[in-house]
Amino acid sequence: MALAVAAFLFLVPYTRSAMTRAQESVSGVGIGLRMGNCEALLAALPSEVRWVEVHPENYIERGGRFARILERAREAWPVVTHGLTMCFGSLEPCDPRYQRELRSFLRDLEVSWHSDHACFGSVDGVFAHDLLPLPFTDEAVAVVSQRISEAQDALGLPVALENVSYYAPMSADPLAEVDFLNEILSRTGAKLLLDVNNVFVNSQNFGFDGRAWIDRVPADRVVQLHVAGHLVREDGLRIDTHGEPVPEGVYSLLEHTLRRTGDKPILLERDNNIPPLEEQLDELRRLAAIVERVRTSAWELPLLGASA
Amino acid sequence: MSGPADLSLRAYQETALRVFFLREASEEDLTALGSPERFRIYRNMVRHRLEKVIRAALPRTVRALGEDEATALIAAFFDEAPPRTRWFREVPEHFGAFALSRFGAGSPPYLRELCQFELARWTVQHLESEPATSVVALDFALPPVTTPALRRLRVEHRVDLRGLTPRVEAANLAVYRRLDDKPATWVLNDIAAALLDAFVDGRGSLAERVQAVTRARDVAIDETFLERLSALLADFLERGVLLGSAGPAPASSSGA
Repeated sequence: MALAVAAFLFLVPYTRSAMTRAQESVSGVGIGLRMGNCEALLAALPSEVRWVEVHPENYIERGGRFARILERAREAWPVVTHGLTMCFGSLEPCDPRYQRELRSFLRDLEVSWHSDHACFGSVDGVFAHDLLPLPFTDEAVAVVSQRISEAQDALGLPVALENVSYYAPMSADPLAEVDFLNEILSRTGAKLLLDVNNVFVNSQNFGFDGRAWIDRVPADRVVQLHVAGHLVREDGLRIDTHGEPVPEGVYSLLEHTLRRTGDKPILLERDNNIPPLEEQLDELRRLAAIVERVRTSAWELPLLGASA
Repeated sequence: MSGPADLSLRAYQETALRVFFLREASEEDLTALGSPERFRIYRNMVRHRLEKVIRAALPRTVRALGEDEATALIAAFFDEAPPRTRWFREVPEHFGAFALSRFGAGSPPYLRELCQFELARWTVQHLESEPATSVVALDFALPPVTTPALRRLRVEHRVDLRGLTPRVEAANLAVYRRLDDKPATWVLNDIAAALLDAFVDGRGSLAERVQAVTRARDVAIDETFLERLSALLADFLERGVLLGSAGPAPASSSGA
């Protein structure tokens, strides 16, 4: 009997610990695992990389090399998933077959949340294969909320919604986007994947204060941050390409974001024009330094308050 | 100023899709979206990305068509049969199906086969390579299992050979994903092609499928045939075309 109780006492916490291992270990700075950088990353296993993010669409129904890459990545790092095609603003419910495949994929990876975008990508079965913006209207709030609720039920996991970049005005009020997102989060209980680069791009394209946008985000809903570089066209329009180095403005907005949200996992996205590994690691080090600076100042603030 | 927020969500999304995919974006649609120049940027982005993957998958087909005709065909694809797949990697197949229905009498005689060949090369790179069944060592008493990442083509032009104009010569091609995940092409003689077809689509054990092919082709199963069959099977296995034999079905999981 005593043995059974001891087993219960030790085994139950152990099991629970194992189940939450993936979630607990996703912290610090990670990088998007892409076909253009995976071999270099997996060969070097750099200490700067604390976790990686993958797009399930690149692995589902493939096997072979793709399955092997994912397996090697799992052995090296915690893996987080970020979808490209659920696009919660779609008018039609997501294909149930795909949702079943995705659920199985996410279960195998033991992820704690799955993210996708506040956008639409298809209409009546035609896929544009791009992340297309939604108007910040009550109707769009209702549709996105419905799709997120369906996704959370189908996947059996918390869903995180990512804010997207947009190049055409979606509302007369440029800060309407954050109210739009907040209403969806409130209705669905969803998390927020806060893409700092997208906020910066939109703020530059539409002339609003990115910090004011960040300040209206419910910090307790943020599970992950994205940073990336973008293209600045000759006419000044910024396009979210993930193909350029992270610019100073994004680093600065990230620091502001971390001071508001507290410590959150940060992902460097680089999908195009992928530079040599060392250049990617330089950006990761820069991000880690920002995290460390914010952590340090967060510790200092209460001490200063206590001594005042 | 009108814009997306002034339209119903359905009207907005349908209008945007028309702007992206129709041969010419209408001024009426662009005006309804509120910022014509910005939606032209979206149009270019969507079309460029899709066109890029089509051209990456079918470079020789595009060259054979000629730049003007290829551009027109891709524009017609967007206009008339835009991609209906969530898998970006499948966009070239959707384009290919459309293009094959459009190649006419004025096209080069090998164009259809070249397009099919390039599609096969592209597709096997992206197909699931793990079979749905469990696999055991090759056994003549069990059904054979081939890689799902395999396409068989019967061509009248040697589109598998590099060159501007494929020569007229019939061939059986097996296009498959190698064990190192690169696409490969294998030219098979008629018997080998028939055997591979039987391994993929036939019924019964490996022995029964071999017998069905030899009966249909009136081939004697003698010592020479068995030696050649043995070598062929070894080659199939080494290349990863043949994976083994179908093992017992996995036990269904119990409980929730």
